[in-house]
Amino acid sequence: MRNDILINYKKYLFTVLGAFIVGYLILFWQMPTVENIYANFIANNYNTAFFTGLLGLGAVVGMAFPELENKIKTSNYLMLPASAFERMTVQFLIRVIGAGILYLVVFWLDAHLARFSALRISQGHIDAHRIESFHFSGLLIVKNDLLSKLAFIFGIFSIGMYLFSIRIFFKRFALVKTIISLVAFYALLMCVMVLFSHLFYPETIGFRVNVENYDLAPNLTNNEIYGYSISLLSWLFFLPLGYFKLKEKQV
Amino acid sequence: MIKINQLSFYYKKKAPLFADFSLNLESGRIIGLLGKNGAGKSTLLSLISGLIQPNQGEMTVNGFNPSKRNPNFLADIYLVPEEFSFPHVSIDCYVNAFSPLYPSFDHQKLNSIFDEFELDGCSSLNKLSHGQRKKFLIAFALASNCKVLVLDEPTNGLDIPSKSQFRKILVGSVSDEQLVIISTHQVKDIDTVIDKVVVIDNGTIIYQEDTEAISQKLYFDTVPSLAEAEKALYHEQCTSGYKIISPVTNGKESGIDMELLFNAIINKTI
Repeated sequence: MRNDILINYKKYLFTVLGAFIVGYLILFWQMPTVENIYANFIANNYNTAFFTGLLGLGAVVGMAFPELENKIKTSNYLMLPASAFERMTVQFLIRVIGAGILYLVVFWLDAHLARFSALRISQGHIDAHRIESFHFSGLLIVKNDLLSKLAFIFGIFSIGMYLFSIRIFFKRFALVKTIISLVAFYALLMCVMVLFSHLFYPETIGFRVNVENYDLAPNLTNNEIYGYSISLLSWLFFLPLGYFKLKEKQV
Repeated sequence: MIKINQLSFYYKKKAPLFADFSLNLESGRIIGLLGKNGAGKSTLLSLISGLIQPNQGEMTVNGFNPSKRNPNFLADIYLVPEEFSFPHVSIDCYVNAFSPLYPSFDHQKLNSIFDEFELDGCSSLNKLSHGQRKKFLIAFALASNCKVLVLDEPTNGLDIPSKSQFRKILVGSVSDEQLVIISTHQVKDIDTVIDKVVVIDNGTIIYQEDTEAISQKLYFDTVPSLAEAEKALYHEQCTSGYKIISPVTNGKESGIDMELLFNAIINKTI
């Protein structure tokens, strides 16, 4: 980890700085101005910006293990005295934990700074309540229960872990190939669902998916359990998959 | 130090490169691994380094199975590849970042090799010429004090003075606990430093001998006439007549002409 930071600290610093500036400008430009004082900036506007930015974080995560992009760099990387677990942990700490925490901090700073500057520049012409203050709790756009919130957070985490781990299977353009594989995987899943829908419900028309929805527990349907299981558990499958691929990696 | 027993290896959709390949190498030696293009030299080095896995057979390097890529194994082996790339950092930054990974790394040795090679720690690695970057990599490898040093075409890209510096530095910095394997086409560049020759062709060892034993058995000379040359085990025409290899008689020894020896081995006259 020390050598990664020593080698790449400039790249990381510029990325954080770039994200901070871009995030601030995007939020600030969407906020009401003196010329447009009746516009409102509500929690939903923050959500759009946050989830758009999350795609950028996904790109950072999906570009983990940059040394695996070609044979020469892969040889150098695999010859470094470290275990596959250490290599995986370093990338996880930097690209997932580190970048994730920095993203939250940068977005929080951007949101508050953009609101502060928009109100300051308006010199009292805009009511403070027209620009809502940012709160992380506003990002959890799901049912107001713990399981749904956890499933939402772990759903995002699982997509991140897919990008992080499946990237190891590819060399050049790994991020693009990983995204294509994710789309292909989803398309395959839908095809299987459509096929089963036709098999078990002959009345199904075209590409519609016919799934019965019934309560398995109070306020918990079978489809919710299906969705929650995928969100909460799939990362547990992706991480070992990436680990064993890295362990077996050859030049 | 390196024990390879009945190893088989093939690249996907290609004919086997190594079949039933065995080799034993002990520490305290500088091995010259020679062979034609495609003979399997670089593949053998990759197998030894654990970058690729054999399909069959046993291999231990320093007591470790290279395929497992145990960190302790990797901390005691350094590969100088033929092609390499560096991050966009200075020499000093690279050394600070990577030297702690090698427990026996000797900074004093590195600085003295830098002085010999005229390398400046403040220089940006990617602004150096190919030859200078190669010299840096060789310096780093030697300073790592790894028990196994694997050098793939180390003299490629080095100018003439640097080649002789390389030989001097190599001989001066390798200890009895180390094993150095040098794979090269440019046999003349290393003929004075190696103490064992291993020649492979089509994935098979066709010749392996200590240089001391070669000197005791074979005599290398240049003769002016074809009549004298034809009596030899092997001869090649040169500007001053004929270069020959003949059996040693009367205990008279000569220096080894590695290129001539290699050609004789490839032409199966020795």
